[in-house]
Parts: sequence; structure tokens; C-alpha cells
Amino acid sequence: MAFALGLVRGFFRFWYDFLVGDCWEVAAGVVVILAGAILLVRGGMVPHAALPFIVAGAIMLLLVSTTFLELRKKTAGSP
Amino acid sequence: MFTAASIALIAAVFVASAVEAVEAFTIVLAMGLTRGWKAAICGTAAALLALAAITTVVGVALIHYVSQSLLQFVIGALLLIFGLQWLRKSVLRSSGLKSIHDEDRIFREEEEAAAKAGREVHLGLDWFGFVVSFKGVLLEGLEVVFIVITFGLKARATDPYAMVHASAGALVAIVLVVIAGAIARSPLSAVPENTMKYAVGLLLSTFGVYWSVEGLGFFGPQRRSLEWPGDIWALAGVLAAWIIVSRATVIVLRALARREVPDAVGGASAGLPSEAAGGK
Repeated sequence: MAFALGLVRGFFRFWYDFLVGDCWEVAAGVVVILAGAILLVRGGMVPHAALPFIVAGAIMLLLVSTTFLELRKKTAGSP
Repeated sequence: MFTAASIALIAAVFVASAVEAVEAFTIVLAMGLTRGWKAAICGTAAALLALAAITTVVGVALIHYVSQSLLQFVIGALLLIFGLQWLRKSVLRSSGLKSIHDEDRIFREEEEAAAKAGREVHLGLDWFGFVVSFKGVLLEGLEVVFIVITFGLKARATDPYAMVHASAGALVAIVLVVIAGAIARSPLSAVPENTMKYAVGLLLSTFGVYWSVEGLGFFGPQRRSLEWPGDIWALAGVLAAWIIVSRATVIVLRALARREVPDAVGGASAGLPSEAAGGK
């Protein structure tokens, strides 16, 4: 039983590692950006309005994940 | 017949796949030397079989039952997540906020973990060695599959054999890494992995943005893929944007690190620790 549970846990852990990676905020950020873009398209906006939205969103995500999030982690880790 | 585009495709897939193969090789080597080669080789073989099964089943399902625009959107979203993770780590490494990727250090850590783990035997195999090898090869292998599919599909418009060329690029990279590793019998730390990872991060992020936007058309009234202004040239534009943004971020982070170091010496800093100072 414990062996089977370990296999199931390992299965989900594997897919989490593969899809989300070591910074869940990046994965969540991509989902939020793309969901926003879908809403824009669904809301009757010209589809190409989503283009700058996704590009700007992805760039912002890189900036936030390398600066704000990283500094926050470092600060939280410091004595 | 090889064209400039097909050579560029093979080179891009080769670099990306080589990075993944080096990482998988380090894990398998550590398991083979510490837990025994039987478990490491069986784990690798099982992962390759699983990889072939996943690629076949998912590939057939996607091609036959999922519209092209939705496929572009899903793959674009995944590439964007992978690409941004890679780019984020490369930026942090270049600015000194994260230690440089070191296969020797990873190998030692894997070895230590393997030495500490208890000996549990299932199906006649050392389970720790089998599972770690299996997971390592499957994880890195899936990324190779994604890269081959993405780069290959995009290049198919100009190169009818793009998927063959992309697969060949990946296969050659994997075979060369295995041969080099077998000769060296040690982690392939001489491979310029950090630079290669930065290049792959740029490519994955570029294709991620490109395909996400194209695939968004699935949610529009016509449910057809959107087209970028300038088509293939837009890829170059997005790539240039990523290069500029990532380099600018590195410069800003380095400046921040330098500013924080004197404070840290004076004991007044709550920001970047001393690790940031050594990252040149």
C-alpha cells in the first residue's frame, strides 16, 4: 500500500516538477497573462490587441521574477 | 538537401538537446556509480520506453483530435513557462544572484543523496537508483521532445523535412553526449552549459510568446490561428526584445548587488547577501 502511494505521489510530483518547475510564480503568472488574453479576445477586442498584452506581460513576468521575487526571497532568508 | 534554414534548425535543436542530455547523463552516472549500473540502466531504458509511448500516444491524439490553433496555444503556454524559468535562472546566474550551474557539484550532491538513501529492492532492482535515473531521463527527455516538436513544426513551412532534421539534431546531440560521457567517465562539466542554457531560454521564450499569440485565435470568432505582422520576422523581433530585456535586467541586478555589498559589510543590509558579490 505504502509502495503504491509512493508511486502515485511520485507521479504527481514528477508532473509538478515538469510543468511548474522551481518558481511557481512564473507558471502562475503565465496562466494569468494567457487567461487575460483569452478574456480580451472573448470580450470582442480585436484579436491582435492580445499581442502586445502577452509580450508586455511576459516581459514584466521576467522582470518581476528576477528582481522583486528574488529580492523578497533573499530578504526572507537573511537573518 | 540542407539549406541555411535547416542547418540553423538542426543547430538550435542540437544545442537545446545537448544541454538536457548532459543533465540526464550526470544523474544516471551518479546513480550508476553509487547504486549500481543495473538499476541506472534499467531506469534509463524504462524512461526511454515511457518517452516513446507518451510521444506516440499524445502526438497521435494531438494531431488527430486537437485543432492546430489550440495545439499552438497549449504548446506556446508550456514553452513560455519553460522558457521564462530558464531565462530567469540565466539572468540570476549572470548577475551573481544564483550560483553557476555546475555539473561537478550536482554530481557530488546526487552521489551524496544516493549514498544516504536506504536500500529498498523492488522487481530485483535497487529502487532508489532506478527511480532517480528514470525520473531524470524522463524529465529531460520530455523537454527534448517539446523542443523537437516546436522547432520542427515551425520550420515545416519552409523545410518539408523539418521534423526529420529536428529529430536528427536531437539524436546526434544525445549520442555525442553519451559517447563523450562514456569516454570521460565523469560529469561533462567542460560543456559551456550556462551559455547554452541562456540561448535555449531565449529560444523557448521566443517560441512561447509567438505560439501563444498565434494560438489565441482559437478563442476568437473564427477559431483560426492568428498571424503575426511580418510572420517569421516577428520571431526575430521577439528574440531581440528578450535579449535586450534580459541583458538590461542583468546590468540592473549587478548594479543593485554592487550597491548592496558595502551595506552588507557594514551590517546594515537586509537585501542582497554576500553571494551576490561573487557573481562576476
